Amino acid sequence: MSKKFDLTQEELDSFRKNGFMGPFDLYEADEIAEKYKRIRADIFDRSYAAYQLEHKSAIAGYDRHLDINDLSQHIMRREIVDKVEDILGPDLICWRSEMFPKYPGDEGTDWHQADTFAHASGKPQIRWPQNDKFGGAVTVWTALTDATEANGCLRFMPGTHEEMFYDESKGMKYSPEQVNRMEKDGVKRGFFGYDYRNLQKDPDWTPDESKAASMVMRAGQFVIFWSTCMHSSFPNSTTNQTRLGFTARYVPSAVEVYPDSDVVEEYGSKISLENFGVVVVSGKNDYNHNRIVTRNRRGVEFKV
Amino acid sequence: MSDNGVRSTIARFFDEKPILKGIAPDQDFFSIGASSLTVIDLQIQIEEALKLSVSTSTLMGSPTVNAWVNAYEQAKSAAKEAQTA
Repeated sequence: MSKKFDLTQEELDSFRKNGFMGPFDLYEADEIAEKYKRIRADIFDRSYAAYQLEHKSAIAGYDRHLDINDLSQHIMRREIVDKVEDILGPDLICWRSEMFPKYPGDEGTDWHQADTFAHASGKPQIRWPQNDKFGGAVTVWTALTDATEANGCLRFMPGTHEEMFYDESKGMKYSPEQVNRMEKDGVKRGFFGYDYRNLQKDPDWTPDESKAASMVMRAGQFVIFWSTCMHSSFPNSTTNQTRLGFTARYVPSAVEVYPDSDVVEEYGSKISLENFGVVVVSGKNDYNHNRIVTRNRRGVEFKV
Repeated sequence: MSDNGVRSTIARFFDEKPILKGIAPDQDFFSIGASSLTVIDLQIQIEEALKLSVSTSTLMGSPTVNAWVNAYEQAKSAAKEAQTA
């Protein structure tokens, strides 16, 4: 298949240097407004969701591409996948998606980096082939609403994607009562009930926020970043504007997802992986280590 | 009550949520920043008070006071018909 949405060499060089790039246009204003309305309603219909969770679970937004048609189509969009291919190669899987709402008054998200994604569960959720020096996932964060500094847009620390300042195996205590109650360096922020500072390799180190870049986005745009690129978000300091982002996480098909795990327990919830599967979004899968799904749980085929 | 209690009950619970207090009947409450948790909580309270049930996806597909009143009035009529059938 010919690729229409390649990165330019300049974009690729910038991504290799900074660990993030964007925003890129994907949906027109009318189109994303309609999608947002549909998705917002579909989120509450869990009859086909992969995991049995209450609406109030902190991970209720996991992997809704496996049951919400708009999201199943979204993760396959060539505007996204062509670019991710330029970074990771031709054989790609989407292994996780998440909804990231930030409501008026919500805290910002702590600075963090994700390599194995063990930070909350304590168990690696992805494992790259042995001896491969790379880790992490390429994350595509799409704005379903506008994302501004006032309502909680993302922030990135350029060039941090090749050095982990956090040790995800250290473990954090889940304290949901602390959500929206902690101030760090004068800013209300946390990590969905955890304190990401507990994972710092050097407990006395503080991120140099003077180097941070804000990613202001229009609804319908997306940004691409290495999960290992240090990132955070502002608090939502508005009184009436929700910020909603949807992330899709991509890795090469050579990466093992949820190795040696039948369940995931994090953010106060526990899910069985019996309905989980990765989606081949591009190229082929020559491995047996991941369960592949070709249709979403409503029977709709994952296709471009 | 002239509205069979549905509208006034719904209005009362909306008024108890700071972000929804005084909301116009046709205003999309997600567009003014209401969180999904607030709205789910609202649904639970309303259904306990009215002893009626409407599917969450129906309610979230039409997130206005007027649409919710219509949905619960229909549920009330259906429940009454079922009783008399």
